[in-house]
Amino acid sequence: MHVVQPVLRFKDLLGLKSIGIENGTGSYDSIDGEANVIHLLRRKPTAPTKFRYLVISENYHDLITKDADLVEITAIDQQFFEMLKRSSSKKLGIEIAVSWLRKTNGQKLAKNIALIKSIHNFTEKYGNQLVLTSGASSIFEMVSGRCFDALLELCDIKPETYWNSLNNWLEHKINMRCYICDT
Amino acid sequence: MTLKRRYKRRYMVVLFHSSPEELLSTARERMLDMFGHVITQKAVLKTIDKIGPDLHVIRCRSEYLGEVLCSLTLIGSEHPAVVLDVSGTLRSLRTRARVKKMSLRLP
Repeated sequence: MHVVQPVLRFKDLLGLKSIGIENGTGSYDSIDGEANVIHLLRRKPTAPTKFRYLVISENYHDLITKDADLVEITAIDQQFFEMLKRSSSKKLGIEIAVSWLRKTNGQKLAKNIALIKSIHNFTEKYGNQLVLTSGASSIFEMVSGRCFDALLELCDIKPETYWNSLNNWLEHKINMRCYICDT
Repeated sequence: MTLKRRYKRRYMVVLFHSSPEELLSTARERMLDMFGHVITQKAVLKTIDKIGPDLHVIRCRSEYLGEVLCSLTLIGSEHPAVVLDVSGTLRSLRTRARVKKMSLRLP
């Protein structure tokens, strides 16, 4: 929990309501349930947990597997859009990290911005959700709410619409899981 | 009726692990790359103050705030920049920045 505390403090400074923290493949028993924190796990826990979580995957071919809620996108081809069409009933999250955009030069960045716009349109059409994340490995790589809004506007996405649909998607995904309640 | 003589400005507190000159040059470079010379010139980016070793206050034209925020977020150097706060007045920004600095526990 000591690692999470500075992140939570920083989250409030950046005007973010809740954040996702990636967990390794270790034991999930030691993780406590913390309000406004969503744990991002590589594999689905076998038993109910104390904490809220989403199952993530780096490989978009996992779109057709059952467990993944969120798929991180770093390279896209035509196959990706075909996969999205096929997995429309699962309400998948398509994650695009700002850290990935940071690494690209101007020309590639422009392409990626156009791509984010097309992915957003595509996810809206087929019932999935675009999830723009910071992809931060330290607090100094985190992105504030205001900057997320600016990036969304750059991609011709209305921030209000995006945050509302993301909120609904998160509630839907998190409420589908089984949790242990402390009473 | 009075004449509006000066453009509106926005002040930002940016957490950046290097000198203000480097922050400004990398931000300008990225902005140039993304939006071109005209927008970069019109945005009038300028460093105003330094609150502690890592917190910098920079200023831009309010019309181009979105572009500046995008450029700062997408700085591709080894030191990423985090925009902590945006304000229309320097006084309120400084007050809020002091609180943020304390909660960040920066030296």
